Amino acid sequence: MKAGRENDRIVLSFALLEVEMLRRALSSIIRNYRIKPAEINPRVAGAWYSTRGCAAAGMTDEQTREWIETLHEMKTANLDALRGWRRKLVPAPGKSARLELTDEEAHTLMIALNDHRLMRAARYDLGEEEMNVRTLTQFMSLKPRRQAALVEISFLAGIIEAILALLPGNYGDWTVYAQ
Amino acid sequence: MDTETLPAPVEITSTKVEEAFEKSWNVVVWNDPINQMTYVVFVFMKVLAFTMEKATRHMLEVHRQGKSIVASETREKAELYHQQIQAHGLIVTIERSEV
Repeated sequence: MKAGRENDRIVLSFALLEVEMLRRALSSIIRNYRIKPAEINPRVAGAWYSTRGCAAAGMTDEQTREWIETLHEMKTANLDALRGWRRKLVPAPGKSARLELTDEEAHTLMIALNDHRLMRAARYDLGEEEMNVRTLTQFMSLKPRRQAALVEISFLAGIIEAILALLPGNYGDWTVYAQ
Repeated sequence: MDTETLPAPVEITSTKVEEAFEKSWNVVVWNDPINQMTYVVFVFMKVLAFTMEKATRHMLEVHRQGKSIVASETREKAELYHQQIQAHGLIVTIERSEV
């Protein structure tokens, strides 16, 4: 993947296999964003629509339902944009596919990709231990589907880091303040 | 001239008014193994309008200590932050602050 800024836009270029990975991720995000919170896979619900905070705040059941509905609406509001980006990602041999994003669009894409990372981690029970895999031996000890999920999570993390480095705000500079 | 006694004024307890404006609700962000450090800094800067320095301090507190109180606000504001931060994928709760 290549990332840069051109004429006030963030431009992301993806090679063939990256295009396919991103298309599949977007398809999955779109499919799962459309599912109502009460009907979604329980593990995904735990990742996206956790009511832990509502319980701690002493919200009533009705307030919690409304709160979850608002979260769902925030996600579905981005469906058209996600579909548009998926349409632009057409894999072609020898050619890269490009996404040109305004800063606002980059925010939206980043949040959606992060949602997908959270969903994958929840579905395949990937936690601290799996996210801190340091050797191939450790990686290969995971079942194939968990390996694939970990690779996907890592790939999308790279896109998010690239976007954050290009957004006004220089978010990657936080290390200057780390002690 | 006829006189009329006005009804007794309704006494509004100050307690409820004070409660609504008291910044007595903490917004707590919890650690998780998935969200990237840079992304957490971004969320704190975007949602809470933190400087990068403050966002980094709270992000590292979440990372090292498991959680961080990122705001102490009125109930209404705390609920808004709660929803916006969770919409970005972070684990967040609100709780009454211990005064």
